Amino acid sequence: MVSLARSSLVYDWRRYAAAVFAITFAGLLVLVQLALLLGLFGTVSVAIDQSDADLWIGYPKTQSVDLGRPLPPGSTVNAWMHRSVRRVEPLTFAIGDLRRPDGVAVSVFLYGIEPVPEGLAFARKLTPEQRRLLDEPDAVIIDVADQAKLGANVGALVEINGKRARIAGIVEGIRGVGTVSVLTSRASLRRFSPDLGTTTTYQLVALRSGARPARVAGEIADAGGIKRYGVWTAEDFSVQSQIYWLLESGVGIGTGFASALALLVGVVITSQTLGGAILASLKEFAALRALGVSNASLRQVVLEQSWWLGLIGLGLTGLLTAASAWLGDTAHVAMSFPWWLLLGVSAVILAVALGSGLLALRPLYQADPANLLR
Amino acid sequence: MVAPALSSHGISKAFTTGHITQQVIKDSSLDIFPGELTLVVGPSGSGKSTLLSILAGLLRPDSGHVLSLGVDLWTLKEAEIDRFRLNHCGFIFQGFNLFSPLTALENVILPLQYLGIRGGSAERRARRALDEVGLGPRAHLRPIELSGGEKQRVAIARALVKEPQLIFADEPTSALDKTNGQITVDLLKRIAHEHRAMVLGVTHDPRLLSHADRVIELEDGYVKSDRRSSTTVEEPHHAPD
Repeated sequence: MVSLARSSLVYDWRRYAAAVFAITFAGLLVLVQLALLLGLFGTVSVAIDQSDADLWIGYPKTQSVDLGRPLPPGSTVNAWMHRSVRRVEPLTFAIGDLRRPDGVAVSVFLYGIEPVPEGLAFARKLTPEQRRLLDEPDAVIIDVADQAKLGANVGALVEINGKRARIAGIVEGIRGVGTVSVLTSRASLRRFSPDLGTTTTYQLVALRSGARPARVAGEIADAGGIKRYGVWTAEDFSVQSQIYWLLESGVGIGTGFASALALLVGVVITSQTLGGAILASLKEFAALRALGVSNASLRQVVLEQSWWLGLIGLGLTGLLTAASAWLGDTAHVAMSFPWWLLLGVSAVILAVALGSGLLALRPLYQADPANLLR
Repeated sequence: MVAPALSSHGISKAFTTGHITQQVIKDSSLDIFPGELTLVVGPSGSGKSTLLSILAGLLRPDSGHVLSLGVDLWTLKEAEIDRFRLNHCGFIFQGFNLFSPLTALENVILPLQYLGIRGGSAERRARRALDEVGLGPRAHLRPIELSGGEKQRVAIARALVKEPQLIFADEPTSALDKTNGQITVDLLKRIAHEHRAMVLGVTHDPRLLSHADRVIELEDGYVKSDRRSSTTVEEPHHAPD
């Protein structure tokens, strides 16, 4: 099988290289920008991603995990009755005012967790020893990245909401976007913020092995007409929280605009390259038209070319993205490449290539064989 | 008596540029027969290429009919004319028009694929066509590695490989030197005789005329003379008995 499209790409690769690079860099720009953005907003969902819960029960229609509201009583009845549920554990959020040893006040975000060894909240960050530290009254754990801001080392005494607190430990990677996170036990949190009473913000649910989270989430959902609580799988709630911030913050819009611009430039360069290649072979195409090859068949040649250009561009984007991810990792830059981002950007890259092919078809209609006989 | 492969009846064509309309073909009627090489000659601007385009189904005439293998060509739809050319017509152009990324063999295979002939049988037919034009040993070369005469022979193989009943050649030798021009025109003549195909060529090269079976001279859109290699026929649309 002779493929005019493939043979032309191989033979005339210098001509097509511009198109491949345009597609590659448009794809890379979009992918890396979004990965950086997701990496940044991934810290929004750090409480979900660093915990071992399969399901999260929270206030109905909560858009992002940091916007949780007090849960009404009875929200866990269905969960406790479900045979696949292994553990249900409360988690409470509060805003607090931390006064450093030197007297300066800093607003902080307080997480009240269960300090038991089998606890789910931040189970991927806290060692059993660190969890045990929180068992002591007034003990708090802070992020290493906030240590300078709080001016405190392990053992330092501070005040939270006017109550005495002690820095019992330091962990890495619990910080949210622009907030100072402080971990403490639920008992200590009630002392720091007495008006919370016994309310909780979320109930974390762990399932027995083999259970399907999405299915159990449906089964323990509030069956009433007016929902008193919502149930999400950890993965869904994490993605939902990130998307909320992506769209809400305006940074998403800026990235979207820059991405659209990159794609537009990609389309223009690719379609110009393909159009130039068609013009260069116009007489040959016209000769095929004379031999009875239909316009539709010639269109297929161009579209096959753009498809291959897209695939090659996609491959190069993949390689360069892997390199960028490695660089980001080495430099501790938060980047995130979820599968849906990779899949989505791949689809966009192929769409850019095929769209460019469609735009480049116009010169093909000048391939009128009668022009060869002038 | 042999029926004509192609007949035209009262075809006219005018081109308009700005306010000037030029009548290029004026009420022309011709019969072209299979099994012979017919050459249309005439000075530049005599309308010979336009005539070829109309007869070959590439350019729609303003009036008149073209009966091609018994089909009234210009009553067909655009796609049907494409299909007709695909099934029955071969073309050879002045500029060869071979795809430079493809080898000689691949250039010849390409039109077969659009007829649904692929794989081994397409390659066998293409090799046979290249053998016939004497280029079998050079089938693996790309156009850039071939001389002008060889390129034109690849183009002839490309026109021939479909085994068409109608072959059209527009100035097939004008980009070639004398020797290659003669090789090309002899090849066209042999194809006409051996394949019983109609070969209709347009040329302004007087050196070729002695090789043709029939020469039609065109001037200002009219047929001025119509000669056979042995006899001269004054009536242009007179069929030989």
